[in-house]
Amino acid sequence: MVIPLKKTTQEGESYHRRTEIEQALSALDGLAPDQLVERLTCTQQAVPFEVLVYFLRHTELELGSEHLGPIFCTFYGRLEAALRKVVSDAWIDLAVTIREELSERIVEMIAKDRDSQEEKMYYWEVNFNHALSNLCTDVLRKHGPARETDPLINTRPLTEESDSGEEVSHEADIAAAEFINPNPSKIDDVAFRLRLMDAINELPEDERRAVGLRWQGMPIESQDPEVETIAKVLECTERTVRNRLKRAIEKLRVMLQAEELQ
Amino acid sequence: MNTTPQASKDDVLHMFSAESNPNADTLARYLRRYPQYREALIDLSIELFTALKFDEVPAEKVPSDKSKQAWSKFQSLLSPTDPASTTPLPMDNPLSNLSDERFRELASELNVNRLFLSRLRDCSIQVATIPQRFLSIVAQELTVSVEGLTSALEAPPVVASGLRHKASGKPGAGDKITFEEALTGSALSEAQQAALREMKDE
Repeated sequence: MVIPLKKTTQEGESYHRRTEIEQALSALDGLAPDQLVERLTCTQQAVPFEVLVYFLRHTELELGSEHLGPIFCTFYGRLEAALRKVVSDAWIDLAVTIREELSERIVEMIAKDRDSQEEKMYYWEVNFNHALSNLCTDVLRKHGPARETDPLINTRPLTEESDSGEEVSHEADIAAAEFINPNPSKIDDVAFRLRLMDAINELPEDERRAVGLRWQGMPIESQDPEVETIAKVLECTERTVRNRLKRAIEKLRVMLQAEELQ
Repeated sequence: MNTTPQASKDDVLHMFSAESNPNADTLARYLRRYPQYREALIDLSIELFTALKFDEVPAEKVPSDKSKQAWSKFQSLLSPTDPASTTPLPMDNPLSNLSDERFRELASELNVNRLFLSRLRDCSIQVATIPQRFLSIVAQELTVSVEGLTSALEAPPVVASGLRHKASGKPGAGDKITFEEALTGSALSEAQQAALREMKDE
């Protein structure tokens, strides 16, 4: 039986992993240890990170070093490769130090979790990308450049928030489109994505939410009252949304250009 | 997870982050069902959407040396009771469970006296100074592994019984004597001492 997450809802029901993770774990459940190792270390059909974390975290599975070792090495090798792409020597000073700190912290967290009744790493079995993204952000912030050089600080709003200005019309949509539907090669560039994510997080709350929702594909407005729109969700007019988007896009452009020039 | 509209904020946010495809439609569905957590859901959706995709990086075929080093480090961090720990569980001291008769026999078979064997049993001798050959013979007599015996004898010395440390005041649990000191201080005959010295590692 797949070990359920110990964390429970207020009604006492176990938290679930993503459906595809639960399915992958069910398919592996009951395999003999040798078969399990063969499947988990296979590079042709790599299992999701969450699955590897599951087998590394739970001592109840009784995997000895003979079997856990190869699973760990597969996990660590993939983690190293992923971190090399994200924390690249090409654009981050101290990249090696940062990568080592990240991988050491993860290894220590798993080792501690094996010896604990607490459920500190449960989320790594639910959404590994999100959990590691958060850890990366924490560590990158710690090592990152001083914030006094942040271009945002000296940026003045280009347009005051107003429901009456005609000037914002569709410019914001055009500008947003450049960021929201960028060149696929650019959005696949992990370094660009990380910089963009960081830049979005630096925006004021109202602008960050407008851009974040637009980026996810939510419409600014709609004639259909059933459709959720950014204006409805953020409880403001569509013009305010466009103003926020316009300001946000300008700031993002400044921030990303400033970084590219460095 | 069957959450009700009254579900806690943590539960709802967890459920959203465990969605297989948390896009704008999924968010809209959650916002309709849980309007009380509107801001938290919006912020989480943005975080999830912008999170990096580590799974897209291809796996490496051969474990790197760094992976192997990390595995050793990982193992060293595990509790000794962990099934994947390097440290074997210390076995019960195989000398402690012997009957008086078997204890005497063993002393005779090893060509030592009972005082010397008691010191060995009570972990009073520094294991690193005991010749490997002698340890092998003892292990063989007790039908245990040398590693297991070594591990058991590395435990702190037992102070409660037996004669020891005549010369230098009260014994402490941290004191261990060398093999040579045990040879000369256990009333062994010259012949017994010589035989044991011959086993010493070069």
